Amino acid sequence: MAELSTMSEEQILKELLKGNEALFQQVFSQYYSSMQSVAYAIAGPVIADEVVQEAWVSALKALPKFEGRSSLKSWLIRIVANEAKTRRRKENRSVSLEAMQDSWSTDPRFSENSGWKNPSSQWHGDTPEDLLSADELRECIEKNMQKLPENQLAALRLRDSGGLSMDELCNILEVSSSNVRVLLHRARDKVLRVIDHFQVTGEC
Amino acid sequence: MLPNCKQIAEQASEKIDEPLTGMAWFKHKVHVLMCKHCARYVNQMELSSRTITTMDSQVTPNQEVKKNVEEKYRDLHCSDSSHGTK
Repeated sequence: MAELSTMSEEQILKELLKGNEALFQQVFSQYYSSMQSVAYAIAGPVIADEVVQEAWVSALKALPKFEGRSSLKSWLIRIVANEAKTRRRKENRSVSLEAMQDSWSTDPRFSENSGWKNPSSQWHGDTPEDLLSADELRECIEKNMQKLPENQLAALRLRDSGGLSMDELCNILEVSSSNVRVLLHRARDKVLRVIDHFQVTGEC
Repeated sequence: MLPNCKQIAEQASEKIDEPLTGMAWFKHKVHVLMCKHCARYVNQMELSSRTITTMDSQVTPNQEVKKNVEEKYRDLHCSDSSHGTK
């Protein structure tokens, strides 16, 4: 069986169009987590898997027309993001992806002259695997990510889980590039603070 | 003038997505070399981002979705093949 990692995108596409089921299973598994993260971030946890399934159905129909202008992954992520936004509108959930919520200007970690007053601590571990070896921290990050404003969570998942470009984030979230930068910073900063608190106290 | 710590904290995330260039890069570098709190924050910001990537890459597929999508793939391919042989 051909290994996905050893094939070029062109070869993968050719095989998928020929109906190579074994390869399709690998492609599905490879991109599932990114697609699920994006669906979850935009449409919510209840219908995330449904959105992924619908996105795949659309992608399979459109596959013969895929011209390879972007990577297969980016193309799939765009489809799932659009599907998630459509579903979100259908479910009559308010689309507040463009809303900005900010307490950065009054962040108590900084002094009045914008220097550090309460800097982060030294962490035990300098790789994701080191940090995630504590299951409690993994659960704690997940729990706190759910408390992020929707637009921040969507930006974080589209970028750090989905690997989308900044331009693609602007299009999907319908915000300017400077707003995307702010959303990403606030979301990552929150994750950093959660990890820091866990490193200091051992608690979530 | 060099950026302050709060500005460096913002740049810590920005430079994950787009590398700083020119004077902005130089000023950032000088500040981080002189400020251990910012140096630590910049590293931790990058590590936090990679941790999210790692966490989300470890999600296992929902088996029902996998089965349904594979069936759809099979159906589409079969119908394509039957068209081709006609």
